[in-house]
Amino acid sequence: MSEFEQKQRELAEMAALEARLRQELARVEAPAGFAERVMARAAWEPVRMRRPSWVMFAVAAAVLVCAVIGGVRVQQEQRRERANAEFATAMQVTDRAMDRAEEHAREQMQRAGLDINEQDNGSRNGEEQR
Amino acid sequence: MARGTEEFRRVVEMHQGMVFSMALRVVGDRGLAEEVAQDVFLEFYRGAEAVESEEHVRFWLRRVAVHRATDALRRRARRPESGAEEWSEEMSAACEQTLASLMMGARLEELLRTLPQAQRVAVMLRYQEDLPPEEIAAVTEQPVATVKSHLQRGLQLLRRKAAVTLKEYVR
Repeated sequence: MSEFEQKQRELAEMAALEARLRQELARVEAPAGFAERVMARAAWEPVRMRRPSWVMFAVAAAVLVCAVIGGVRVQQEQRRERANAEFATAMQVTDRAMDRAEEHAREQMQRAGLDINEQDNGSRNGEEQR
Repeated sequence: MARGTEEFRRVVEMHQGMVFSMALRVVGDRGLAEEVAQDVFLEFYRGAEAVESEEHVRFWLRRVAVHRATDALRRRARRPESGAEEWSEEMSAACEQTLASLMMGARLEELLRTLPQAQRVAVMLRYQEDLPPEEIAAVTEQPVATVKSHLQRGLQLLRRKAAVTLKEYVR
């Protein structure tokens, strides 16, 4: 037998083998009552070990981000309110100090015999002449 | 039972033949094959929420069936595979004398069980499930070239064994 014929024969044998494999390796039926037994075992699963889905992870991450952002905003608001209150107090103190200084100046000028109103008018006239 | 039970029953009834047949052809024992097939479906039941489509269900079941069946086979270690690759002419001659008479009525399915595990799985997926090498590679998580090699070597080994024990197949 030539090499070519040998090769041809091998190919034919392989094709026959593949055909038989397809025929003989067809699926077989599961044993009777198989589905019922699986369902029974599923019913008696002690705890369903569900894997946390990506949705749960996403929700948890969103809640965490919201909590962090909310916390930062509350802190910023508290700081702003504190700064406003401190500014208001500082302005009150300044106003009081200015009032006291003005009062003190008036007293000094009165003691020196100067009329505050004249002074005011004089300075105004000087400005107008200039 | 939890929600989705009816859907789970539908999946079991639709795919039980496939999963059981795959397990049976890998482990070669009906009792163990049923155990493996049940475990595969229960694993599916526990993680059913991750399933996307019918095609995905089939792919998932095939992949897990192959893995669980080979795990079971390793645990049981029923058939040592070391000699399967070393199919020599002497062994052929010995088999011809001792097995031929016993196996005249044997089928290819029985010869399949004597193949090394990786070749057996590849041949089973190719001829039982009619999967191309690319899909076999995806199911078994192996390179396509490795799968093709398993298929080729598995078929050659089967042909040589069949030539000895089942002469009717080579005529």
